[in-house]
Amino acid sequence: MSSTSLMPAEIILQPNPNAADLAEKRERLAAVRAALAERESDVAQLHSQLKVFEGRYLQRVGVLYAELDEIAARITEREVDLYDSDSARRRAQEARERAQETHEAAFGADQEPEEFDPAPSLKTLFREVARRIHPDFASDEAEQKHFTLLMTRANQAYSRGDAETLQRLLDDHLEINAARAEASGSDESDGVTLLRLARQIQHAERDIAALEGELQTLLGSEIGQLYTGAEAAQQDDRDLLAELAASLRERIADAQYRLEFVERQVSALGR
Amino acid sequence: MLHSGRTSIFARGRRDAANSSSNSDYQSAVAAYNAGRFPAAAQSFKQAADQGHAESQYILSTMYDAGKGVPQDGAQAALWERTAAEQGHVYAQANLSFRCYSASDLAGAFEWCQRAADGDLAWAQYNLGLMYQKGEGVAPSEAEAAHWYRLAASQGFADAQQRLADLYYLGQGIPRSYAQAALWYRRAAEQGSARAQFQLGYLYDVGLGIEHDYAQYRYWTRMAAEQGHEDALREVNRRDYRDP
Repeated sequence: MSSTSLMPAEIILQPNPNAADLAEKRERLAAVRAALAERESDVAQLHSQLKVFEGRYLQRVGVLYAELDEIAARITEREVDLYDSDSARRRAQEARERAQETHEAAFGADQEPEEFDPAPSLKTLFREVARRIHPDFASDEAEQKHFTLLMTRANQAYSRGDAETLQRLLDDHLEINAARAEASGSDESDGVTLLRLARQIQHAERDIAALEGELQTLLGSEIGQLYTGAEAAQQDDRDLLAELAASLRERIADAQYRLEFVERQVSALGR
Repeated sequence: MLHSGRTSIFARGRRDAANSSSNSDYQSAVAAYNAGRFPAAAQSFKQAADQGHAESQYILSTMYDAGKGVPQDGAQAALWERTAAEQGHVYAQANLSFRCYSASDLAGAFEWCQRAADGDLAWAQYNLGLMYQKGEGVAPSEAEAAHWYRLAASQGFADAQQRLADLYYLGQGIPRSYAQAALWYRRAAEQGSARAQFQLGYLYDVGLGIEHDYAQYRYWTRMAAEQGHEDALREVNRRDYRDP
């Protein structure tokens, strides 16, 4: 046993824990991994629901904000024609910038899928991870199932350029393997197995906590809150986006009326 | 995936949705209010206010101010008024500005008045003009005053029309124009502003910015005098003696 061993002393002192303990840990790992898989699917589902909702929101409501801001910008610009002053010009400029921003937010959706060009270091990291957790290399069925899940996670991390997650996947794997390496040559001893299981449980629990945090962040975001509100409204047979759109159309009509009023003033002055 | 540049367009939707008039507590509050059941109305407005409904927060603050349906409570009124104001409710912003002004907090009064004025509230635009003209909470600027008076005047706010006409008449903050002065005095005069009626009458009398018109002069001066405008009264008395 080398001095750099990762094994805590008490496990070395108890090389033969009873089989019941092992079975209990295995069961626990399976349960935690099942919970982890469920959480992952929850987060993935919420991501895709939000994506769809985001598209519907922009299409039904976002474009109306863009229209409203455009009219507001025109009003302030006509006011400069009507009566030029520093504050009138400042107001017009601010309104124009805001209209521009809203327009880009509402209509800029198509530009989004950026060209995927990962850095060489990310490519290397991904390969390192992939060749270790490839489901084909799994030793049993349970592990294969788990590797499949890890592989999906690695693929997602790679495609969004998330080096941190890839590194963690790699570290986890190396840590587990370090434990296995302790039992090199012979079969994994019960003590080593127990330690490995404990670490694997720990990894899964940590990942569940991280996903929990991600879920809360998603739900707490502006679009997440809007989505939750729309879902709650639907329970009462209300269509939140339709309500928003209707009130925006009223505001657009008001703004249009004000624009026409200012334009009449401008033409009355012959400017 | 959640595009950061879009956050503000989502935030607007969420805020507008939270302030939707379809909020059920708000609706029952309005029904109770209209039926004169003020304590019930206050309770429902409070529920909607707690959910972040800005209009309810604003109405609740006015009920606390007036002691309507709830015991009169200035601190609660101020609290809900500020909550609504911070959510962008322009009437709450205007009331908060006035509350600051009454407490001699001119900087606060100016800041909230500015926000309400940016929200196109004519009353706030007019008052912002006044604050610029008097240099209250801000460095005095007649050009700025003219700008805000004009915005309020365009919305038909009579006092702003009369103030804008004064600035045109005196050439303060804007190039002097008797024609513009006459135009804005007329709009204010038609809405019953005594000072504007008197001034319009004077412009007709001397033919500044408009053609001299004795009948119009008599008409508008009498209108102002009937409202107790002192210069107009003096003018009418002198004229009746000379030209009954």
